[in-house]
Amino acid sequence: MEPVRLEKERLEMAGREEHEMINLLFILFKTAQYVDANNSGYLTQSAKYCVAFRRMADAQGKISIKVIDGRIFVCDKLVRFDSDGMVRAKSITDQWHQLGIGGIVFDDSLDNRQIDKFVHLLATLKINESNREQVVQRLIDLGIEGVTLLAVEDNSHKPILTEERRVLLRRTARANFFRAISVVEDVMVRAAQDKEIDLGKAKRVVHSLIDQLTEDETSLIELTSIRDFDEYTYAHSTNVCVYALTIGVRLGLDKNRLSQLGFSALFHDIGKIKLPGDLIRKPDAYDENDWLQMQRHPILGAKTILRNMRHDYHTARAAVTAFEHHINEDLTGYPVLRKKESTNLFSKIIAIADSFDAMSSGRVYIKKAISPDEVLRKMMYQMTVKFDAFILKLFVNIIGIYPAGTLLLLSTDELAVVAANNAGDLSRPQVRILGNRSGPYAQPININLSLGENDNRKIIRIIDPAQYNIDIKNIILSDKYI
Amino acid sequence: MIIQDYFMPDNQSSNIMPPENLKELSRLLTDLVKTIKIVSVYPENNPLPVKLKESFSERFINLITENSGLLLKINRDEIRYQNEVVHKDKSEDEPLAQTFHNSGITEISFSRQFNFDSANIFFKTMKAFVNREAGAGDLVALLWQSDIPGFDYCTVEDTILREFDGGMMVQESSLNDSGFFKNSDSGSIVYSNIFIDDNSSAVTNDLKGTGKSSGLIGSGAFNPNVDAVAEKQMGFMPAPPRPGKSLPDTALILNDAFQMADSDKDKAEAFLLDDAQFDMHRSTINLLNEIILSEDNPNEFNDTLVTIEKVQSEYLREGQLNIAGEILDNLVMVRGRLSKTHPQWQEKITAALTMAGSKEKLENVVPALNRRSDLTGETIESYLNHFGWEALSAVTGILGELEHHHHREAVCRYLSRSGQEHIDIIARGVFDRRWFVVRNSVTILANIGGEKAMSYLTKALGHDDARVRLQVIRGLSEKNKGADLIARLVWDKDEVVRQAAMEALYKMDKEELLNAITNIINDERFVSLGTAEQENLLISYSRLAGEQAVAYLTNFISKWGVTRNQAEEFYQEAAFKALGNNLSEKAEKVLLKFNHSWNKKLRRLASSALAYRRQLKYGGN
Repeated sequence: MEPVRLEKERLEMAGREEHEMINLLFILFKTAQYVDANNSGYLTQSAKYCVAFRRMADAQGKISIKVIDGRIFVCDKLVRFDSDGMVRAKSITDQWHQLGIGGIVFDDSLDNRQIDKFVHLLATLKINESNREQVVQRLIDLGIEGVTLLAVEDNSHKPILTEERRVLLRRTARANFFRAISVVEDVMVRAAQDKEIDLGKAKRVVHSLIDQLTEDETSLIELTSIRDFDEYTYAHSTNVCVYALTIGVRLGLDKNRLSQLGFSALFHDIGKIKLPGDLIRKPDAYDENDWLQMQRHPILGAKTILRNMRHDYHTARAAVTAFEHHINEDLTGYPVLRKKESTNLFSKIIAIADSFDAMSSGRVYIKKAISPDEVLRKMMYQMTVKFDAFILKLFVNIIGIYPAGTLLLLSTDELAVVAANNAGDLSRPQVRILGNRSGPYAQPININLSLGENDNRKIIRIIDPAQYNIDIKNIILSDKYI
Repeated sequence: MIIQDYFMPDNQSSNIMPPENLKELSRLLTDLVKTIKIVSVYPENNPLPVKLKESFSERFINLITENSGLLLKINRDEIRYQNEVVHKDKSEDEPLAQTFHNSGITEISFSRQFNFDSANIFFKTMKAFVNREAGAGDLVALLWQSDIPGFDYCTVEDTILREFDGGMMVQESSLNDSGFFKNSDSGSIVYSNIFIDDNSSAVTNDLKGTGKSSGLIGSGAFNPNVDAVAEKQMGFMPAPPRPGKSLPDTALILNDAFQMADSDKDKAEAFLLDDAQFDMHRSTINLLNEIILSEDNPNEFNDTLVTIEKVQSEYLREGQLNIAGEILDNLVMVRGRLSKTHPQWQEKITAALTMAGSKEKLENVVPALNRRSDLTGETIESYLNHFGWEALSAVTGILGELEHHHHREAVCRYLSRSGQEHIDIIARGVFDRRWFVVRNSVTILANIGGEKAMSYLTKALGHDDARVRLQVIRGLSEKNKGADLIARLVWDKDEVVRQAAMEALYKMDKEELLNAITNIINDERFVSLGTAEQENLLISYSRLAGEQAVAYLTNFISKWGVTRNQAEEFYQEAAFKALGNNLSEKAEKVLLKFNHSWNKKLRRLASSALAYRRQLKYGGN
């Protein structure tokens, strides 16, 4: 088999120069919103930015800044911000978005004076009373020639990944996903034997998942729809890890905290390994006594992590999360807290990911799967009581009402698998149509249900693959159905 | 991390590096070892590592640029560029290849993006790893987190991942001609079954009504009422029934309910800021409290106690004494709370607290203390204060292992304070074979003072090592005690000790000193002391003893005879000097008497002594 390598077309990450340039630009914007162009504070920031701009422009020529799906790219390289930087960047790019600006391209001929004029123009605009076309006109009036404003539409429909690249990424996603499952299994087996656990492997696999998610979250999310790996919770834990990381990425957690979040998610259910095997494997519904035992797993999990893993930030976070992931937003749930304090951010995230996967997979507590939309409906009614409403919203905005990998029956008598979510319309995802009443198509058809041209295709219902003897594993894992 | 192609030179496999560049690469890797070493040892702003980093980075970046990147293969003890060995680890102290190899790194690469900033981050990362800074035990994780522009690496895991065929899951399942259908026993294709039950009126109605998706999502294939008990146990309250025909469909409800609002941006910010305050120590302590207080089964309680002990030990190993101490404080608190519910478990906590002060546990803390000179004496004392007398022996034991002076001082202070009632335990150190342990025990015993402590100190007077004997002097002198013991060291074989003993004596309180000097002067070995020492002792004796000393000193003067020898003359002169320092009336009378002596020499010495005495007493004639 060809080695899986993230090669030339890989989404490049921004380097230090790009980070510096964009951060300085955003600081300059913020400064310009409060002071005029002659203010000494502004002049200092402006001088700093111009140095960074000139250095980059000399090396690269044009400098482009694009906002695509909330992510910021400088010269087509993805910029990752720390929490402060993210907040600043988001507040500015939101204003751009309201103006209809999806990005800016600076010509290398732009001089310092023009930069100042442009920044002040954009920073002092009345957002509600202006639009991109008016800004373009103002630029012409002011004689600023080296700035091109990109429309929001220019970016939103621009595919980031080529299909060829997507194939490659799906392969890598698969490898990372299954490796994560095997690492969880390794760790859990060692934990069951009360042996000390080497955290290196687990951290590295989480890092691989984060790298993967940063570039393409869909490939991993669709793998979570495969439900029949193990009787224990290895695949469930990996699914929860993927969901949690997608939330973390969207929330703007830095790399370090993402690593801790992924690690915590991977081992949130480690306590189950300490429960009797018969209980985990029990095919029937749990009785009261079974539940009492099952409700011990958060405590057992926290203890297992603290006892069998070297204590560091990752394990400290994981122990807290393992303990808290069944505690509700109103602090009910289990275990019962002595000290009534709000749960940790990671616990809130993992509680949502865990509930969603547990109910939709029908393996962990619920013995029969519930369709994702029905799970979300149930979760929606628990907003603020059981779950944090904002994080739940964020989660649904990532996975959609029909998560990637969900099988759908369309009004055109076609069978489709969800490929990706549409953030603007959660009920109309992008799908791959696999076949129709007559049988499978030779090549699946990729369509976006949210586009007007596909209005004739409505979602009739979600298909339970098991009920119709469909091997969802084949669909998700086979390159043929990409 | 998987090595990215854009990091690689376009045609590196065929790109032969000129021999002079290969040599330069080899030299650079040798310099890299040195630079990492220096950077790890010196503070970040020290000019030496700064200069080294700069000069290395400049040359290295030049080579990368010239070669359009570098891909280096890591072996156990060597680094290769293409097939050439460009670096071989020379010693175990500087194992560049081994450092990467042991972390599972098989390749490292540098692209043209690698710049001075990259080099700085790289060195900072290596420094954290080499110095084993907190949480920096995994080089691969560190490099990943550092995200060094223009630098990448490949690990064994990456290689496995490349060979790990996720597609095997496909092979396991039974692919057939239909592609995604499982082979059923009957062999019949079930695809058409999917469409059989979709002709419900609800579908049709909803499609007509909304123009969007149907309201049948989740129905048909799934039973919404399954596992109602499980849902309840999971904390799910019954959701309202599914929307009927007259209501908007579920998807639309969800679509609206989950749309992000502008105010959500603030929530994200608040979460991020709040989470940045996460304190791993505080949260671990709170978690341990929650767990132990929730236990109601004796086995689980024991298990939790063992877990707490393990975590506490880890904090000790890291030198986090404050946190380790806080865990013990919490155990005390829990013990108090258990008095009503589980009194029998209190003993277990007491045993755990005692164990925390055991030799085995306290030995864990020594490497951390020796590694961390930044830990203050107060921190150490504060931690040791958690323990009772049972820990005294173990604490005495670690005293000899501590490398930093202020740490030893702190332990000594603790033992001096806590060991007053248990001198026998602390004094074991006096018999230790290691001189420095004896010395520390001496310090503690001198601090404690008292008859029992002095009896143990007496044993230290004969210790072979002069440093121990010196410590007896210093310890006692600081506490202004045991002048008699110090006086014994006036006869020490080592001149430094003798001198120190003499100096210490003169600093003692009047009463202590007088007794000591009287003993020295009365000792038959007095004459063996140096003349200056003897003279000083006589003067001190005269000053302290006042008129009681006059008769004794007069005796030296009156022994005058025709055949007087040199020694007698010395004592005569010393006696006059001593009387000159004696402010009693009796001394003045004796000196006046000698001032009228027929002996010219006696008159001169007496006159001189009187003048000195007046100077001393009245500040002049």
